[in-house]
Amino acid sequence: MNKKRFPKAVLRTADEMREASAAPASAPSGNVIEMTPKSEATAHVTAQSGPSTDPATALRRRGAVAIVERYANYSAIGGAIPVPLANAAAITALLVRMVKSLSDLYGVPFERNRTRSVIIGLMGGALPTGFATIATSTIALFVPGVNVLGLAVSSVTSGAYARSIGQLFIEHFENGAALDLRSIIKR
Amino acid sequence: MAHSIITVATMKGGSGKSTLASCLAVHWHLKGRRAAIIDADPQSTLVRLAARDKALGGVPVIEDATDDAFKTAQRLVGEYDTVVIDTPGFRSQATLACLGVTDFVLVPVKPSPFDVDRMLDTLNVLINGVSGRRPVFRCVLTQTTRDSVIAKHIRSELAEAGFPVLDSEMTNRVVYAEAALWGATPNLLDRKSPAAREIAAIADEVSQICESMTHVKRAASA
Repeated sequence: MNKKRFPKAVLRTADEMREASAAPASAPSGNVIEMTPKSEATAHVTAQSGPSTDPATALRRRGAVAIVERYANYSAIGGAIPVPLANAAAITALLVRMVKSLSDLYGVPFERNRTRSVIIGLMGGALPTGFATIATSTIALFVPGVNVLGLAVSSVTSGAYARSIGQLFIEHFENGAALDLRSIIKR
Repeated sequence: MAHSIITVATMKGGSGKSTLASCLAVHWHLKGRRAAIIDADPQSTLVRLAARDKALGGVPVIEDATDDAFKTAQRLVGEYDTVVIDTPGFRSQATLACLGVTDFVLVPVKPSPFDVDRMLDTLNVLINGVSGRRPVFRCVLTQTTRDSVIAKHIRSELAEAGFPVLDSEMTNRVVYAEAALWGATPNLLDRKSPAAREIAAIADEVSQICESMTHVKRAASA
């Protein structure tokens, strides 16, 4: 007769796996102009629950990665715009929209101007080669014969930087933090 | 049992995949079926085993740890009745590709939370589909201590969570390691040993499932 009592060993069920796979990505919500996290308690819980143990967190992270991938593709297209500096502006606008989508997903209040500053700061400062590479490749557009190469380099680097900035924001939001330049750059 | 590809897979190392794969292939070989093994594990455990004296009783072991192991399986399944694929103990493209073409998946799991946690990742892949297919699978408890409470606990929890588990299981026995010294499996050395009976029980369950799947496919295509 089994008299021992064990805690649960199987932490996920087959139904939960099916539901996690079938659930759509979170729908975007309205534009909230606030800079504080929803609550410290929420942030604490988010930080404690790892993505691998909590199906809801894993699902949310998967949605976030999908958003980043989508915008990385858009940015790659934006990077191929053959108008110097206009492409950099287009990419910045796309990245702001990406962060807004991520903010909606994580329930973090969003502010457009602050986000734009954070992104410009990241691309020009924390990621020094970001703007530099895009700028250099767009300058190459002026050189006859190198135009196509310049477009290709600009497109690839734009996609890559969108992806890396997106990942940075995912990690940031996963830990329950708000939009704050200093804490993002510290990462 | 019609021609079939059976994949032994879990992303956890040390769960008994190679032992299970070799024992099943030897069992079917001894029963007169044409069985072959594809060793898709870069550790080449079964290739090394087959290089020893008894050479797994003559069961052919094909070494293919590339991403194209599934193509090798598809090619061999016309030549052999049963092709057993032994996969690496980590997530790999080769394993995923094999799961995409297999008829049946056996997922060995030791009755320990470390193994169960990682095995659930494998089941997640199987449940949500690989290459657009959801292969039929069963968990099988391996390296269990006979009548242990933990094994019963994990078996009941897996069933309760909706994961199918074979009734038969492989208990932990020194004879597996002893047989490996000769390049054999316990059922090759002694067909009536307790280990051989357990292997036969697992093989029979797998055969029954594969047969019922064949019937369903025939009925669907009729």
